[in-house]
Amino acid sequence: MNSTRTPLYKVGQIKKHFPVLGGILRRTKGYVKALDGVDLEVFRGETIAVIGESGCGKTTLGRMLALLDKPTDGDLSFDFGQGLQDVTSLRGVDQMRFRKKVQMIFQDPYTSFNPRQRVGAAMDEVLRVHGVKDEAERTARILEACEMVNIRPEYLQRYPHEFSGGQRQRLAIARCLATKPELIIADEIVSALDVSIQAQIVNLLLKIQKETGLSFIFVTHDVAVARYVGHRVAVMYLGNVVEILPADSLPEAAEHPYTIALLSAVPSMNPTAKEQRVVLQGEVPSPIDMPSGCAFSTRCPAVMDICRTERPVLKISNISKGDHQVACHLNKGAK
Amino acid sequence: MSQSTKKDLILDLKSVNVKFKVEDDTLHILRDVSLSIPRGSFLCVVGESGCGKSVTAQAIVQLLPDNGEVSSGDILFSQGDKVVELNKLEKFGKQMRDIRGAKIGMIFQDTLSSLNPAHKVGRQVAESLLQHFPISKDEARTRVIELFRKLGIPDPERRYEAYPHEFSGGMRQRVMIAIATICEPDLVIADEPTTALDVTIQAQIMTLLKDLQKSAGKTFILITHNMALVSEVADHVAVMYLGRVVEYGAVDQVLRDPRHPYTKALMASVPNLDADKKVELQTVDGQTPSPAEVTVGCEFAGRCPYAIAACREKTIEMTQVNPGHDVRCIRLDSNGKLPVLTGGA
Repeated sequence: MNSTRTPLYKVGQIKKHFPVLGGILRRTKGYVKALDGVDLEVFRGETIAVIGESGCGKTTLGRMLALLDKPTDGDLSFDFGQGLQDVTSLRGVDQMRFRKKVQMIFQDPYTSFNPRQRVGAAMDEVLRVHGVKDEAERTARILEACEMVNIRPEYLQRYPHEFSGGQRQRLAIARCLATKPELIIADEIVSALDVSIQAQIVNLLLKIQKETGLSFIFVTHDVAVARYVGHRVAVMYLGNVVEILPADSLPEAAEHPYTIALLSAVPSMNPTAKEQRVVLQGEVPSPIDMPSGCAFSTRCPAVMDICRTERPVLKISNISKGDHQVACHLNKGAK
Repeated sequence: MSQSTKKDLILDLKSVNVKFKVEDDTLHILRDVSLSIPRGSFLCVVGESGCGKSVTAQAIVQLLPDNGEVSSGDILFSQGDKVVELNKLEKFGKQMRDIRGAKIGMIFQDTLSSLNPAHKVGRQVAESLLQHFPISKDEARTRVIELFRKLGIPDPERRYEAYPHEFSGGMRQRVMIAIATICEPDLVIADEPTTALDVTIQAQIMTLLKDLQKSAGKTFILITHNMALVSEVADHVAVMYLGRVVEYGAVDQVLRDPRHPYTKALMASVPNLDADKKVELQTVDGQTPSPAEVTVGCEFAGRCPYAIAACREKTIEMTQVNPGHDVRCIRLDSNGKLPVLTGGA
């Protein structure tokens, strides 16, 4: 992204450490470093796909960005229209204003709807909470949102269990859209769906973005989906963003050894992919006792001495420049 | 694959029908499923949720839920030189128990609920050995540790004494593979074994299964919804939709040249790392109907862009488009091609 543009949402060195309690006195024994210094900028109209394996902190990052959890340390600033403004200290009305702009969708749409409330009422409630007092306007907005996700208006009188998984996920998206947000954080929203339904939702999100110019943070474990929906892809490993690169340049431009290994582990219909496979040994280390230096150094096929002592920071790639940032000592001489 | 004559079949399903009783209804879950599995091959069964792929596995080992039963058809399992009709055996009778676990191993998706949380994993693996072979506990322990080592479980002596919750998902799946293979079964049925795992761990597990097939000559049935995974491991693939096999063939035939509209749609709806991003993902209109709604004709007709009136009139039979490649669709012409769609699809 162009550096002269100001981001919609800026994340600076955000950390989240969960205490691990132990012993009969439940004293803090250590910390799970779910996020360990993440920087990210989200621009207007952009989709950032966050990928990584279980436990890498991608969901924590999403929750943090939606202010559902408080970061241990770091800055979060959002542009309400008058430049970037710190949001971690927002309370009451101001926080509501933020929540209206930044909405979240979760993996399981069944648990995010009240089973005893008609879906129309559930959508209406969200708008009332966000201060849309005029009933006619609420109805108009709900109908507009439903049209965008191809849900027939008469379905609004139904209960959540009367819908299929794909329809429920579309309703969850509509509920978000009704508040007219500027950023939607979507956490694994297609993971529980069958592939043909997954394709419907993915196409829908792309269409919504084209029409409304919303920004998305799309958290997923599926690299192929991430490449498909994202403008940029952020790769996470053990609480760190190790690489950010334009989605179009995947898979060829990937530079970080972890990204390369992750991409090559994805099953492929292409027979040559099998021959180039890097099968990573071992498993992700526990985030309680993180390796010193680079978090990936324990499994990295290209590990050097410096990797074990010094943590690499995210820098512009030497090879592809521009939008491509890598946190790796192999990316030499970078600024 | 070696040329497999009829005698080389390890498992032969002949028009298997499975029905479930749900309240007052009877749901027809498997419809005339026929599959012939040559010894030493790797068959993948693919399809979306509710297509009956897991029920097929359960029917083979007679582990259907209490309200389900094989209503007709034969399940023939060849054991050495004799052929056993699995569906005629008593569900929990001695003969079936001797086969289940010892001759046919099973791996399930959810490892945490398949392992007993209160017992050490080593003991759970050894249990199956002790059940099927007259060996001592110490001997069983040695064999389990040996297998753990072969399956890449680090520090196997210590891991033998550990409980399931002390293992990661990938390691638990290795334990499940150990349970499934400790008795050296000829056939292993794996039901979505890597669906809950990360891709890097999935790659490790799949390499392991593939090695077992190649080095130990075991036969595998892998049930999955992931087409790309199929293309990597399978020799043969069966695509299922709503209780019926709609396409069957060698993996190269089916995946490089899918003929059934459903197989085509399924493949076009998966985002692929090599695919062009500008091409919109193809979606299948509507959703899989409930088995209770099905009437006559092709199950896919309601969502199929190629459907005509004849598709809904009678049951569609499997036809051969190429040697070993069968498709259940009447819209294919004499060359086995679908007609060109006119107007927007």
